[in-house]
Amino acid sequence: MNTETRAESPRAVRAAAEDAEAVRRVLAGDNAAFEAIVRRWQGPLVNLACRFCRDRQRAEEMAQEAFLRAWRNLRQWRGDSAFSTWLFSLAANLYRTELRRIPATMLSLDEIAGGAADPRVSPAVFDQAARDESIRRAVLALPPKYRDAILVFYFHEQDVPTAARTLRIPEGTVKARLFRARELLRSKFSRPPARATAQLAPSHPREAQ
Amino acid sequence: MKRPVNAAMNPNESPAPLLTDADFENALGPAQDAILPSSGFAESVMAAVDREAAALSPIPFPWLRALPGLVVAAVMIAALAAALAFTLLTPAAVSPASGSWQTLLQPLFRSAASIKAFGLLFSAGVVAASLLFCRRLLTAR
Repeated sequence: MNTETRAESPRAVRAAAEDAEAVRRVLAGDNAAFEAIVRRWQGPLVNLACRFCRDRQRAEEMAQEAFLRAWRNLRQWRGDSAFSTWLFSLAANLYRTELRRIPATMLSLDEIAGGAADPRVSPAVFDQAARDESIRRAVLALPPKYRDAILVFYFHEQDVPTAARTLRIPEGTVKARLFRARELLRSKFSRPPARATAQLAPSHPREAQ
Repeated sequence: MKRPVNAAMNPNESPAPLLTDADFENALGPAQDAILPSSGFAESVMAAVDREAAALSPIPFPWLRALPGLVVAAVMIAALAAALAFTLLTPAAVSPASGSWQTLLQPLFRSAASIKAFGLLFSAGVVAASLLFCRRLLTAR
């Protein structure tokens, strides 16, 4: 969900204006106006939560709490950034706190990547879906700062500035954490002879923008 | 930093599965595992919002009403602190004939019993004022 860069499209501009109008109405006492915000952003917020916890039911609970927190703190949105940026930032912060409270997974990176490193399993038969799932689980087992960076970066369609705003950290820090996160993942998913290659594989070209 | 190991340089070593940017994009990109919220999700959120909105909002502190009491309390505390400091630091400088406000407070700190008595009276006054204040606040609602 690239909120700021997509803001140039007419649809995004209209959505931003509708968000602002809904916020104005809620602040004026019309709580029903908040429903428009919920309906517009429920999908992205639930999906972002799901990336953090890999559990649909828990994702919905976390997204509901994020919406409630947004409603409670609506006055804190000053309009200097898109409402969606503020909402995602608040939600990501909440999800990170929730994950600190109850972690999503108890598996270590080595346990998760074990399937890929098993010499009996050839890369050819390593099913793509299983590989994707292994990567997702491995991401959740990363140290939180790397996990958050990589989750939010890919959620925002690989847009570093938006990821930085969501995580409230500088863009340079996002890039550094992305590099380190990929490095960690590659090292876990590569067998020892290829480790050096894995660590030095080029990072994503869009990060250089 | 180590130089990249080129697999072609060592043909005996088979290349290990390496995570590429495409792998990351496939596994983590927005197109993957996009789930739709449950049909009643928005209603559930709005019900929670309505519940919170319907709950009694916290009573705002009536600063205007409390202001006189706060001023009196501040003045009393300042006076007591000044008197105490004056008594402790310069006991010889106070003479009964000075006629100042320190003279009036001096008997109060002459013995431990009087200090305790004053403390008790002061506490009772504060409790009475608090009860009166709360009663007025509740009846005003």
